[in-house]
Amino acid sequence: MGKEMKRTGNVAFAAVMWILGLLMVYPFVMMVAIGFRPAGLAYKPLFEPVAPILTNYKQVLFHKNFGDWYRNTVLTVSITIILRLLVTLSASYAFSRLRFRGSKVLMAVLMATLMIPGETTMVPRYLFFKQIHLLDTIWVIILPEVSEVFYLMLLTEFFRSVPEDFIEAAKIDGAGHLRILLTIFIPLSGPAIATAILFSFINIWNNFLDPYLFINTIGHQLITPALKFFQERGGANVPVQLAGATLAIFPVIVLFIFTQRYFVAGVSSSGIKG
Amino acid sequence: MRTHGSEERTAWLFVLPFVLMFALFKLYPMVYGFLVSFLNRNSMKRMADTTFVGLSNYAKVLSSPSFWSAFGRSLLFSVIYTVSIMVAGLLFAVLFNRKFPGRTVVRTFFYIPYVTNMIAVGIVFKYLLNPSKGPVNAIFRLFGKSGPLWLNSPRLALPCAALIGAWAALAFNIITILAALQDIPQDLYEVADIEGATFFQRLRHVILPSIMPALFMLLTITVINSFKNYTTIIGLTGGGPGTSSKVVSLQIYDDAFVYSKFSLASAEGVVYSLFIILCNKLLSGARSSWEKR
Repeated sequence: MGKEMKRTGNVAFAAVMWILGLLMVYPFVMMVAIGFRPAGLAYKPLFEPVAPILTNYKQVLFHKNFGDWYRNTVLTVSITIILRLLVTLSASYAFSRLRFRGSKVLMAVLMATLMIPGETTMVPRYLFFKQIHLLDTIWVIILPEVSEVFYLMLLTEFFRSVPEDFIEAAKIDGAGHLRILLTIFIPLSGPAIATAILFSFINIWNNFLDPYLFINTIGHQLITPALKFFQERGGANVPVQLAGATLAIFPVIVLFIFTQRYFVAGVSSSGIKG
Repeated sequence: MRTHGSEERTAWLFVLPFVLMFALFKLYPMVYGFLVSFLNRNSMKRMADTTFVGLSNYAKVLSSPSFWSAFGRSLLFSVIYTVSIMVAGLLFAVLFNRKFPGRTVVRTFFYIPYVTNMIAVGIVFKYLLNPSKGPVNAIFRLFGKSGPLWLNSPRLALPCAALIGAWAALAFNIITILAALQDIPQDLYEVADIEGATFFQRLRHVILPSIMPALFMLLTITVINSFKNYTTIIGLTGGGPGTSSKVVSLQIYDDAFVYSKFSLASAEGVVYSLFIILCNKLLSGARSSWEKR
């Protein structure tokens, strides 16, 4: 009897969790599905069959700037990730493995700036980037993104966990720090580097505020702010907007589904160790 | 001694690229904003034509009713966002800590909103919450009622935006708390089982005390995130209807980029940053007094 009740309880629990899970993705299901409907039938209930059309998705895909937005975004994401890794890996090695005066103070200053949101510094950033003629290029996004403290903390933390024995052996062989970093630390840091790449990809792809503020020419824009432009000034109706939203988030969701493990590892380490 | 000096030099060479980029593109703009807030660059005039005006921008900000209204809305947004995401995060983390068929898939469903941007989320929620035709109010129409105006209601727009923002970011809190739950030693649960503890007794006496440090850390991060709300508001309400969801970040944007009052907007940014720093200090104070208890 008790066992039977426990079984029923488990089934009910699983059912409730599945319903809640489906509710979480319901907005995305609607986003994709309504994108296939003509504007006049956008608000008909989902279960009422409507012959799907491709015109909305085509309208977005064949917008004269759509290729530009995707290309700009992919370029920005790739260049940022490469520069960020170069700069952050070497700094993380120094913070985790080398002793130098001022390292604690430096780390404290870097971490203190983490709590200042980009929203509060948008004005001086705009004025400064304008002064150095960076506005309206992808570099206005890339260069400030290179040195992000979150990634420094992530990799420094990981490097600290590399056993000292590995390094001692290399030192006896006469290897310098650069060689130790390149031949020991980087090959050992696959998971941490994967996490850093994944987070970088997601964050830069979804970045709205910075490109919205600093990039004006529509052909130079990135995909997320372009979506806003498309929604407001592109005169797109609701199904076209939803088709645009689907196409803008598609790469991130696909990437996420296949790399969830690194994502979870990254969030857990950032959340607890701060 | 020689080797020590060389280690020091190497270390600085290794951190230099990061530190230089950081100083130029992150730290300098913060300092620059602080400086601009003491100037009278409140029109399209060039930097060279501006003069030092002391605290006059700060006086204007602190005596401006529109700033304080925006500040109040930001606070309300942050409170609703933080409370709902902390409670829901804890609840779902505890639920996900129990095995059930398809747990991995359902967990993925919960994490997907986190990796999508708030502009796309805004587009779909405006559709779902459309007052006259949307599927959510269709439920109300089923019962012959008209349903709330949601994002078009001056009273509901801001709370709705905060809740949708929390919905989108929920994954972060679930993952963090789940990681903390999995660190709880199994024998603590066994003791609770032997003593016949109910679910709520377990929560109070086993789960919460064990994950308290992680919860404090998470609360700090969540509060900081709650102030990063520009995209959420722009994606969902644009600050409207009227100014009913115009938070401080939108006020700063408008003052700078619509009215060209760069110095005034910088002062608003400094005041807002100081407030966020104060919140952090209070939270870390609460944390250390909890630890000493």
